[in-house]
Amino acid sequence: MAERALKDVGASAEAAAAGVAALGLRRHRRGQAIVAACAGLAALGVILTIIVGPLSITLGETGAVLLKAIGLGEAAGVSRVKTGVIENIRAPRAVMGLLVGASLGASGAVMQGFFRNPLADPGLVGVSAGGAVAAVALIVLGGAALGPLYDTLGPFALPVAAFAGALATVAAVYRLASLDGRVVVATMLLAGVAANALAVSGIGYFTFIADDAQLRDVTTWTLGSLGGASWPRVWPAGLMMVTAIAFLFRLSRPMNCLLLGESDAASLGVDVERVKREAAIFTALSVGAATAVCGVVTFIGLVVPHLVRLSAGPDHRYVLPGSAFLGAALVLFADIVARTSVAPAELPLGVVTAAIGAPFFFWLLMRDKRHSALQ
Amino acid sequence: MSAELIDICVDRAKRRVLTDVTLACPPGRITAFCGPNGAGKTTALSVLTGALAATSGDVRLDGDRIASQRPDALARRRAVVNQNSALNFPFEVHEVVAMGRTPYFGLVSPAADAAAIDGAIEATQLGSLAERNYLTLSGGERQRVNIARALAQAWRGPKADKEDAHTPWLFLDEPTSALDLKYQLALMELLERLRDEGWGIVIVLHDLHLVRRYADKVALFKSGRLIAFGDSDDVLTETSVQNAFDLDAPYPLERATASRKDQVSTTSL
Repeated sequence: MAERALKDVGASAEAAAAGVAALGLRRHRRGQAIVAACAGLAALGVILTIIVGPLSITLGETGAVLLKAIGLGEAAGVSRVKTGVIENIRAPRAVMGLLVGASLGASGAVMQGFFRNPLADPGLVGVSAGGAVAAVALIVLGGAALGPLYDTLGPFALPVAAFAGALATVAAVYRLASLDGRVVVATMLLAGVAANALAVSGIGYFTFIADDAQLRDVTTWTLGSLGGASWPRVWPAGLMMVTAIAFLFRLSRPMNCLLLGESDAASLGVDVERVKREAAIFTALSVGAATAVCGVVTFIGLVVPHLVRLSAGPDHRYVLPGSAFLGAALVLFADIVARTSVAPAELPLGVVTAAIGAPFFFWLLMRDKRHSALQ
Repeated sequence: MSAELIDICVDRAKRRVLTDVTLACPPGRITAFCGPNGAGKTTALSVLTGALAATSGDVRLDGDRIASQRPDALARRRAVVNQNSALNFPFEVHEVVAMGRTPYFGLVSPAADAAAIDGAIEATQLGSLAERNYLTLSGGERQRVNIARALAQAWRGPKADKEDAHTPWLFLDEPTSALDLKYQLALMELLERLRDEGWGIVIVLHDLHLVRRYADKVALFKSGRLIAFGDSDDVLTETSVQNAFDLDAPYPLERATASRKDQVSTTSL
């Protein structure tokens, strides 16, 4: 009789299978559409970064120069000045903005999963600042104390140092904030406040003892800027960011399970310790590399995953790529605002992202106060 | 073939919380872990599922040592319903249930996954809630979603190769705590049906009346020790319950087994 009951369940399940499968498919299509839309915005950001500026460049000229760069065509009608501006100033800046934004967006999404709380962000938790301290320390002490390290790592020295600083910070904050596998959110945010304060003091100290040649501009490190983008600076950090993002994407399924809690994830066959370790390492790698090239850019990692989740749902298979693309778009748009609003001067990028992000953070706190997600 | 604890001891924070526990839960039976608060029921279940490593002793699932199993392979043989779930993100109910299929990713067809998810949602009567945001559900509804996720994980399709497949095991830690009477009975009747299909079921239960009515085997714990293990009617006596829970007088228990088959089902699944 029980067997028949199960068979009945089986039969009606088959009838309804279309139902649940359709629900899954609807979410899947929606998720894919959101990711595609975010990718479109990122592409728009790249194009605008190249054509907008004191020297206006048309789409046609951009296309001609890009075709020439990959060995097709001559870019005959484009002046040498414009070609130079595109090749050496705006293209590296666009690529850097793309990768930095993607790193911050994706690592923000993973950190929120890792801490199982939507208020985590590489900037708030102090990971970016930890990376920045290490990078500044390397620049200032580099000549004297760390010469051999500099020589061995070459162009990778700065991003590797920032990675080490970021990793140390994420490990310390997680140790402090976790208790029996649970993350105490208040402690996490307060540990972030402390880590940020310590980092600001460290950056201040190294700035103080640095000479002008060593430190181009302290605001680069505390407020972020894409201003220094050039190919020799972009490619080592870019390589690290691309690697880290690829590994972060692979964590999407286990990260979903981790949102259920560590014991539930373990019972679903997820190797919890390994996933947490990989999430920490690759978050630190992408944030560290991003910080090494453009300083501390806050709030991208907080705002972007939220916007993606609002539209696509919390499934990391869509949140991760969606956040990477939307983060890239947001950084590129913010950078355009930063360099055009007070031209010929430039606002620090972090000023623009914080102006967008901080009110958003207030809104999240208000909303979560009601839903008591801060417990 | 059984889920076995052999000479298990567990120390936590330098305190011994489980002492020399040996028991074997047979497949095709519902085994209930009973006893007062802090007696070691949940600890014993955690060791049995592999979530907690024992300080000493051996844990086996159908003859294989748990510790030597890959996490994903183990997840295809047993599912666990824990007491609390920490989900803090707005997944829809069907998505949470679908997470139960994680250990099968890349191994079975999407149709098989869909059938398992559907079967689990149907069996827990969650059809009308399938599109709801998990965070808007009540405690009892969330509990049913967690049970459905575990069912989807252990689900065997009608076309599964019975020769090859392992016995599905389901471990539940106080799954009825947040459920109202109707769903408590519905859950226990569902577990009976799964048992009759050959599943092995181990459940931590506080309600001795549910235990009397539905469990085949009972393990009675007290102060970190297993004080009795055997058929439900033999283990649960008025005096054994009085002893285990330090009651002042014998606890009246009706003998439910004889009439169980004649009972009119209050719910239909």
